[in-house]
Order: sequence, then structure tokens, then C-alpha cells
Amino acid sequence: MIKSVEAVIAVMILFLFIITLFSSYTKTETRENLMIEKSSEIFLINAQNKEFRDYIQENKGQIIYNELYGYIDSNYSIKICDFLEENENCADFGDTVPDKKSLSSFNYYFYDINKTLNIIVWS
Amino acid sequence: MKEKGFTYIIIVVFIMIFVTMLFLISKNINYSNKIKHLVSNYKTEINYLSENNLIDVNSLDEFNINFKEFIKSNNYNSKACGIYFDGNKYILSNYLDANYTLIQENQTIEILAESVSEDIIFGNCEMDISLENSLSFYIEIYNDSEKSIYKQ
Repeated sequence: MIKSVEAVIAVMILFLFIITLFSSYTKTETRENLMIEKSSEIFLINAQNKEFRDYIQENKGQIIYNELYGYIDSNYSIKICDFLEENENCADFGDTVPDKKSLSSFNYYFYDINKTLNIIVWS
Repeated sequence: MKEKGFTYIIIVVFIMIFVTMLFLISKNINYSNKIKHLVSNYKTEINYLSENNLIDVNSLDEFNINFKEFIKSNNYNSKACGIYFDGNKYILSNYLDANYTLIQENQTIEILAESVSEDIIFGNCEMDISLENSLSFYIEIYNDSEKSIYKQ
């Protein structure tokens, strides 16, 4: 009987471990996605602003990075590229993107200035 | 008494699993809104062009070509069309991957307002000429598992 009690306690501990693990994982992922949602909302509002578009056109990414600072409670980086030239003509601002798979990102294409803005958020 | 104690423990474990599953399901509401962002991007940009009088045949054509490419680079396919009225002429753009009597696929044309006597309709795009709308458009973004449509 004592063995049985031990088995049940062991199973419970195992379950608690799995639950904590999953909870932690989803919490992190949700947090990153919420940050992306928040930044996309800000961008969709600001994208109609001429001054904001001028910042993008002139590659003044640091100003945009600073504007987002109060809204994004996580690590983030922004990248301004010439349309689809994702690796060639890009200017990076902010933290160095870590070499990990769990990253959330948001892309926005500005037609008239032919540039793409990319925000990457991670925890 | 001891058997009853085990029963309680098992019930508690099941409740914990059930509550956890509910928690996980509620947290897994689709937060991956890439498709929604792309639609919003298209919508915001075309409205910006319209409000700032930046639309002509060439710009609307290039706009749809570039957006199709941008959407493709995000691993989605798209279909789009638009009708813009600048006061003198209607500009029609068809990137719906289909031909219509009024306009062929992958084309952007202009029609003088004086030669238009009835509402303009092709595919999912339409414009009621009696209304004073200057822009009407349709965008569909999809892949094998997702689809999002916006019409204005």
C-alpha cells in the first residue's frame, strides 16, 4: 500500500512538472505575440503619418525604435530594408537578434517609399 | 478509508489536467496573425495612396504587383482588384487571376468617366457610380490552411 501511495505522489509530481512546463512555454509565446500585436497596432496608426514615413525613408530607425520602447516590454529589434532585400540593403536597430527559433515578427511594406519594416520580438 | 483517499487524489489530478487543458486551449487562440497583418498592410497603404492622391494607372498597377510579391515573400498567395475614381476617370486594376469582359488579368486600365453609364463590376470589385466613393478594392490572402478576405 505504501508503494501505491508513492506511485500516486510520483505521478502527481510528474503532472505538475508537465503543467508548469507547458504553462511557462505558452506564457512566453503569448507574451511575444502580444508585443507584436501591440507594435503592429502602433505601426498601422503611424503608417498614415507623413513624418513617420519620412523616418522610414531616411532610415531613421533609431527614432522608431525609441518610440516603441515605452510599448514593448520585451527584447526587440527593428530592421528597415529596401523592399524585399532582406539581407542586403537593411539597416538594423536595437538588440542583436539571438540565434533561437522562438521569435515573433511583424513585416510592413511601405509602397510609396519602397521599403519594408521588420520588427522582431523575443523573450 | 485509504482507498477513499486515493479516489480523492485521482479526482484532483483529473481536475488539474482538465483545468490545464482549458487554460492551454484558451491561450492558444490564434495569435499568429500574420495574414491579418498583411491584409491590414494592404488596406492601410492603398487608403494612404488614395487619400494623398497618389493613385494613377502606373502606381496602382505597380502597387498590386509589388504587394503580390511582398505577400508571396511571406509564404502566402493573393488576389486583388481595385477601382479608383479621380473625378475624371476610373482606374481599374485586376490581379484576381481571371479575365473579365471589362478587363483582362494582370492589367490596370483607365476609363473616362463620361463613357461610363452603369456601375462598374468585375470579379469581386464593384463601384456604384451614383455614390461619391473614390476607392473600392478587394484583397484575398491565402495559403493551404488559412484565408483572409477584405473588401471596401
